[in-house]
Amino acid sequence: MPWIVENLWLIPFLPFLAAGITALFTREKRIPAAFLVIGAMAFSFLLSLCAGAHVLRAGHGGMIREAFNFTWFAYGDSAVRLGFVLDPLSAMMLFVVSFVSLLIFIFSVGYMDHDENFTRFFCFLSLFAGSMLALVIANSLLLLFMAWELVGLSSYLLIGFWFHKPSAAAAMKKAFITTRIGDIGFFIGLLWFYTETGTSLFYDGGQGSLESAKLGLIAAMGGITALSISLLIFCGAMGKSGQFPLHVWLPDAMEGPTPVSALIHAATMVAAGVFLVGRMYPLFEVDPAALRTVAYVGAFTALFAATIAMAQWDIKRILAYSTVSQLGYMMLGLGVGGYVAGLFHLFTHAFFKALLFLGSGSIIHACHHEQDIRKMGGLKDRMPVTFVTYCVGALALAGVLPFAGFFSKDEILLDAQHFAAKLGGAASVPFCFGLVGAFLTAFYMTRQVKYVFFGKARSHATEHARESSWWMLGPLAALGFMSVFAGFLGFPNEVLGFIGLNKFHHFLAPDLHAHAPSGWIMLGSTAVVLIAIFCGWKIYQGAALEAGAGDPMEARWPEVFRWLNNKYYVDEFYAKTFVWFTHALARAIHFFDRYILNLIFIWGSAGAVYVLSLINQLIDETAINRGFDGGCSTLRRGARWNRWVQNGLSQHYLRITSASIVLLFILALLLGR
Amino acid sequence: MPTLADYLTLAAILFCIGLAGALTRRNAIIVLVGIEMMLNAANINLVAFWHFLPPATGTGQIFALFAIAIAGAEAAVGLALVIAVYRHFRSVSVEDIAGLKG
Amino acid sequence: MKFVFYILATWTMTSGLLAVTMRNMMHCAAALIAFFAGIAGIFFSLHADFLGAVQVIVYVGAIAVLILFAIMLTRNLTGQEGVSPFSGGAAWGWAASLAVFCAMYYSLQDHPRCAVIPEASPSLAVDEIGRLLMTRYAVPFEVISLLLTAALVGAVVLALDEPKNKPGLPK
Repeated sequence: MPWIVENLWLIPFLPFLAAGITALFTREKRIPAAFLVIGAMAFSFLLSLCAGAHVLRAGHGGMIREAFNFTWFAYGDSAVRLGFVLDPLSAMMLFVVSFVSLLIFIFSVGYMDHDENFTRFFCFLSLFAGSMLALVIANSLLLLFMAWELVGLSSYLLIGFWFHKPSAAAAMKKAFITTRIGDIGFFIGLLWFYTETGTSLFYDGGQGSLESAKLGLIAAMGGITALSISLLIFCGAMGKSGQFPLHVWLPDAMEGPTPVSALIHAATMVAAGVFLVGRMYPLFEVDPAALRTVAYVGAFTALFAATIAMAQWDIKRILAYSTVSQLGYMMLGLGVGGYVAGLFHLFTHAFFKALLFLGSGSIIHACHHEQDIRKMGGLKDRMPVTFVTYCVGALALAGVLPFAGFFSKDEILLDAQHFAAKLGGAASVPFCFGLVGAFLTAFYMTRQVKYVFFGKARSHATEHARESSWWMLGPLAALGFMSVFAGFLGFPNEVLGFIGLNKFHHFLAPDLHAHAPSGWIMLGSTAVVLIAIFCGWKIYQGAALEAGAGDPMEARWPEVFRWLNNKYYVDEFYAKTFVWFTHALARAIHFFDRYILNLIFIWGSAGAVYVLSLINQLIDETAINRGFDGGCSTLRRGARWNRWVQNGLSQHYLRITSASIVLLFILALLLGR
Repeated sequence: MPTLADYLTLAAILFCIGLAGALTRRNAIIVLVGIEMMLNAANINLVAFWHFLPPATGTGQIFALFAIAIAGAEAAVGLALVIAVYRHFRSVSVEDIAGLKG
Repeated sequence: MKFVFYILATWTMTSGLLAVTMRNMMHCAAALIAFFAGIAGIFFSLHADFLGAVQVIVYVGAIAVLILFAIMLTRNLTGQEGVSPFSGGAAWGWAASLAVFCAMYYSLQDHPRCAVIPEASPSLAVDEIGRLLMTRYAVPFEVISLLLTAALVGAVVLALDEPKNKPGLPK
């Protein structure tokens, strides 16, 4: 077994270790904490590169999948086994997670430099990245679930990092509880899956639960077993990846510091759900209905969230809904059978979404924590580096030709189109939703860029904004580079005759047939995106960018805008239904407790006690009182003896102990003979 | 040749001398001395068992070695306690330290 | 051999009794050192050479010195004049320890294994002890070293000066 496979555990272990050591630091140890955490992450990144290189070298001509399994503990005949797996999927995720995390860590040094809890922040960040890395290499249901929950925990800690703000405290709880709802399904699915396959390992030399032998067992069972397990597991993915209807926590997670938002939205938390579907893909493939559900949920989320993003004012909230929408895209891609397409979008999205979030962090930092885009404006000249990198990110997200987003989005649309052609009828929904979503994405990104960077400064803080430090601009530049060039890894087959490579596809799933690229889809999506950008450019200029001016869209369709601005009232709907129901239940129980239990039981028993005490009093007065004095004197005599025992002298106690031992000895002799 | 019983009897006598010291003396330091003597007596037992009862795998000696180490730790902490107590109560008499009186 | 044993037994019993009964603390300490040396002699007579050496080094060399220091630091060599060095109820202590001895002595009587005399005296070379400590007993060895460190730190903390004017301390 190669060295890197056996020592794959080091990759998550180093950040964990760094988090553990940083947790012991005092507040003043800012520089050592940052160095330790960033250093550990850098080592993890190097190891991830080694792992990637190993997969690349060994996997030429075929798929490589190497697992390192071990027994955690055994009880009776069964054992709980854990393991790590190195395959193209985990290698790709390792690269993305460690690379993006590393850059975000570096960015955080600049962003958090005024925060007094700097070391705590880095401790949590390291824990977060470490859990995600562990999640990615897990080869066992149990390990996957543990890492999954650790990701949830650390996101909870980080979203609520400024827990003295009530909104942050509420957001952290919301994130935790909402994902927990999905996790219940996930956990049941895991248990079910474990019961049916009898092994907790995914890949175990033919005996793993995701290998054909065991999957054949599940498929042979027929019925809805495979579908149910897949959908239960997908529940977990929906919670973590913010798919409708569990998307509500994601925008609120913006309450955390911006690097955390970047980490959650690009590399770690939300990618976990998509990764889970990718990891469990063989299981989802058993029943096509499972994948179809994934596709429809993804398509709906993609469109739904994109429309909300059109009408938000908070710079981070726009990006948050954009993330929800893009995650919908990934799910759509996976669901329509584009395994590579979905994960490729995850790959490229990680870079440009991290770039956008870090860019917004740079802007927010410069504008003294102003997040409303109506109060920004004109930052183009004051923050040139941020402007350029932000534009790169926005173009990549919109899917303009040479940028990364174009290739991945195009591949998803291509797969969706094949899906529609194969099944017909309602199966064309994902494709149409995807295309409309692409339009909306380009539109709201144009709107945001125009509001933030063009026109005149619309608030005092913005007027004095200055370019951020190089701690922050360096990561932006690196991510900008990746946002431009990462897409070329997935350059489609046989375009232009000479670059017929699609390296990414070949790397991730060499056995899978890739669809031939369609020029019409490329042209179509490019046209849609360009029209959207043009519309956005035309609508948001001139008077629309003046201070105090409302959104032109709001003026034209006020009702629609209000609905979108209020996120379709989903939160309010939940508040009116689930939350209200919980409150009502609590009130009902309170009522039951207070009035029914109290009245009947408490007062009833009180009455019974009262009657009993009357009888007691009678007995007391006559019978006991006379005996009482005798009892008292006996007690006093006993107490006197007790006082002699408890005289506080340790030697005295020792003597009694010794005598007692001898007595016990004699007793044992008498009883033993 | 002395037998195992001889050694065990000697150990018992020494143990009881130590115990008597711990149980009767007023000075806390001598109480500690008594405890050290009891530990030593127990060590004689361990070594005697190692010597007389086959197979002699060395467990008895190693155990005695650990007991000596523990006794060292105990003496250090105990005497530190005595000094702390002396500083606090200006006395090392165990009869003056009766805060647990019932 | 029997002769040596009796000498050692008399030596340790006498010095032990003196150590716990004498009035002057310094004399007690001297008797204690003699007692420790006697124990080392018993170890030698049992062919536990290494242990005997350790006994001399640790007890005579370290613990006895520690006790001497404690005696000197507490500056109470002979106790108050006219007050017995024994605590109140000391008779109970003597009785209890005598009872414990009777119990132990009784259980020693007529035990079949007590009369066994081994054919060959076992011996344990120092290198063998070292090997055992590093292999089979490696974990207890590490634990004991940790314990000693903790005891060291604890002793230092305990014996450090109390801060002046600490509130709430009864005098």
